[in-house]
Amino acid sequence: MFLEIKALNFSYTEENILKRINLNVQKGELITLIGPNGSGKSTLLKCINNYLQINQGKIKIKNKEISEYTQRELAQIIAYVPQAAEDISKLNVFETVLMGRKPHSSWKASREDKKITAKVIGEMGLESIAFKNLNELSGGQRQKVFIARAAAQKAELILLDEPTNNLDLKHQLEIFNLIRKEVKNGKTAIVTMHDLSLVSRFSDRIIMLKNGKVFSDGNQNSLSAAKINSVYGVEVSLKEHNGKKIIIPEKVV
Amino acid sequence: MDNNLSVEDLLKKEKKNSKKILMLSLVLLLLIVLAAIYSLFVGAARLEFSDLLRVVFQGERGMIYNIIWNIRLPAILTSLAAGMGLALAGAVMQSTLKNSLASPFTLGISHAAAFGAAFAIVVVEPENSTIFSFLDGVYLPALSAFLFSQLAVITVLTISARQQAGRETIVLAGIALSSLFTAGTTALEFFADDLELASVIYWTFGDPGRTNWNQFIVIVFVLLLTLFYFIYQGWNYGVLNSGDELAASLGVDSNRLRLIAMTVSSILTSVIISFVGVIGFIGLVTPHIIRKIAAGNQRQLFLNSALAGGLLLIIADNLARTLFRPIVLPVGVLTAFLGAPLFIYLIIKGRQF
Repeated sequence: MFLEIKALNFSYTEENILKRINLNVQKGELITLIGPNGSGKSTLLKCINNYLQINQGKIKIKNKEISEYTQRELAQIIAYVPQAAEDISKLNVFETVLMGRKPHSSWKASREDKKITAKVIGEMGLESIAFKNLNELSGGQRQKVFIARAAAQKAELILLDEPTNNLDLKHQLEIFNLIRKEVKNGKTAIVTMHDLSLVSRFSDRIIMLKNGKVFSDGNQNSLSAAKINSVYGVEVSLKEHNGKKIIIPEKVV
Repeated sequence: MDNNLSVEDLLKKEKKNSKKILMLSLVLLLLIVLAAIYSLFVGAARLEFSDLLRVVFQGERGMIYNIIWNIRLPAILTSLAAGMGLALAGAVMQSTLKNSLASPFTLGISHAAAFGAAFAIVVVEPENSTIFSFLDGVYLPALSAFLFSQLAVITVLTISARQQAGRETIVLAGIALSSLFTAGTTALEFFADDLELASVIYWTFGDPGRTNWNQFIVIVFVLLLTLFYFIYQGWNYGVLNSGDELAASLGVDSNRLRLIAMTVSSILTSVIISFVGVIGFIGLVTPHIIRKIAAGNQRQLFLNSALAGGLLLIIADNLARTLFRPIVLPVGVLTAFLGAPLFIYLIIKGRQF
C-alpha cells in the first residue's frame, strides 16, 4: 500500500476535527476529497504531509510512518499546493518553479535542477510567461505555476488544496488536465474540491467527508442524491452526460 | 512572446537574467569604491591627491597621515560596514516578518539602544564602580546599548510569536517601544548634568566618524558572519516568502529559520548601533530601492541590499560632512531627514513588502 491512514484523530482544541479516519491509497490514483466547509478536507491534507501532527492513529507512506521521515525526506515524497497560496515573493515563474527542487538540493540550485525546471515549464505550457513576475499573472496562471512547482518537486504524491477555487472554466479544466497528466506519469494525487460535477468527471475515486468522518468512498457511481443531501444539506438532481454525473443543486433542505 | 522556447532557450534566458542581477552587484561595488575614494578627500581639511600619494607611497607621517588613517578611513569603512549591516538587517526583517515597514529603526531596536547608552552615561559611573571599572567611557555605553536593544528585540519577538499577531501588530509594538525608550531617554536627559547631557545627545545621533579601528573590526567581523549566513541560507529564506505551509512541504523549517533570522539580524544591528549610534531609515528604505531596481531571488536581494546600504551611508556621511561646511552634521540627522519622507511615501503607496 502506498499511503495508509489508520484510525486517525486530529484536534486543534478539545473537539476532534478528524475522527477515526481510515484510508488506503494505491499508487497512481486520482482521489478527490469533497465535503462542506469545515468538514476536515484541508486538515486531512495537512496531516498527510505532517504539517499538522496527528493526535492519534497512524499515517504510513511507503510502509513507514510519516513521523519517522525527516522533513526533507518527506518533501521528496510529498508535494503540496496550498489553498489560495499566500505568496508574497516577487519571484518570476522560473524561480518559483525552481523552488520545487529545494528538497533535492543543498544551498543552491544545480544545473540539473534548472534543467528539470525548464522542462516542467515546457510541459505545463508556461514558456511564454517563464520570466514574468508572479504578481503580474492572473489567478489561473499563478495556480498553474504552483502546480508546476509541485511537479518539479518530482514527488510521488501530490496534495492539492482546492486548486480550482476562483478560477474561470477554462482554467479549471486546464488545471485538472495538468493534474491528470501528472497522474498518468505515475504520480498519485489527492485533491480537495467543491465543484461536484467537475469531481465526478475527473476523479478515479471520490471520498466524502462529513463532520470529520469518511462518509462515503468510491468511484463516481458512489455519488448519489441522497448522500449529497445528507452531507451538504442540499437537495440535488443528478444527470448523466457521457457516462459522467452532473450535479445540479435544487434547494437547501 | 514566444511560445516555442525550448529547454535550452529557457536556460539561456535564465542565465541572462541572473547575469543582469550580478551586474547590479558589480555596479554597486564599483560605486562603493568610487564613493569611498572620493570621501577620502572630503571633509573639514582639504586634501589633494598628491597628499594621498605621499602618504601611501613615500610613507609620510604627520597630520595628513593622521587625517587619512585615523579619521577619514575608519569613518568611511565604518559607514560602509554599518550601512551594509543595517540594510541587510532591514531586508532580513522585512522578509521574515513579511512586513514592508520592518527595520531596526521601526521595530524600536535603535531607540532602545539609544536609551541604553544614555542610561550608562547618566546613571552608571564607571569610575565609582568596581564592576564596570574595566570598561572605559566608550565601551560602557556600547555594552549597555547592546543589552537594551536585545531587550527590545526579545519583546518584539515575543509579541510576533503570538498566534494572533498580525503584520501591523509588530510595527505597532515597535512604535510603542520607540516612544517608551524615547521617553526614558528624555527623562534621563532631564536629570543629567551638562557634560552627560552633551554626551547623550552626541551619542543619540549616529556618526560613523566616532569609531576607531578596533570597533570597526568588531562590526566587520559580525557583518561578515551574518552576510555569509544569509547568503548561504538565501534559498531557504526565499521559500519562506511563499508561506509556512509551502515551506514545510519543501522541507524548510520556517519557525526555526525565522527565529535565527531575527536573532542574528538584531545582534548585527545592536553591534552597529552600539558603536555608531542611531542611524535611521537606511535599513528600512534600502531593500525597497533594491526591489524596485531588480529584486532577483532572496539571496541576491540580501547581497544587493547590503551593498546599496553601504553605498548610501557613505554618500550620506559625505553629504553630512559637506552640506553645511564647516559644520559637520552627524549622518543620523541627515538620514532621518531624508528617510522620514520616504517612509511616509512607502506607507501611502502601501508597497507590498
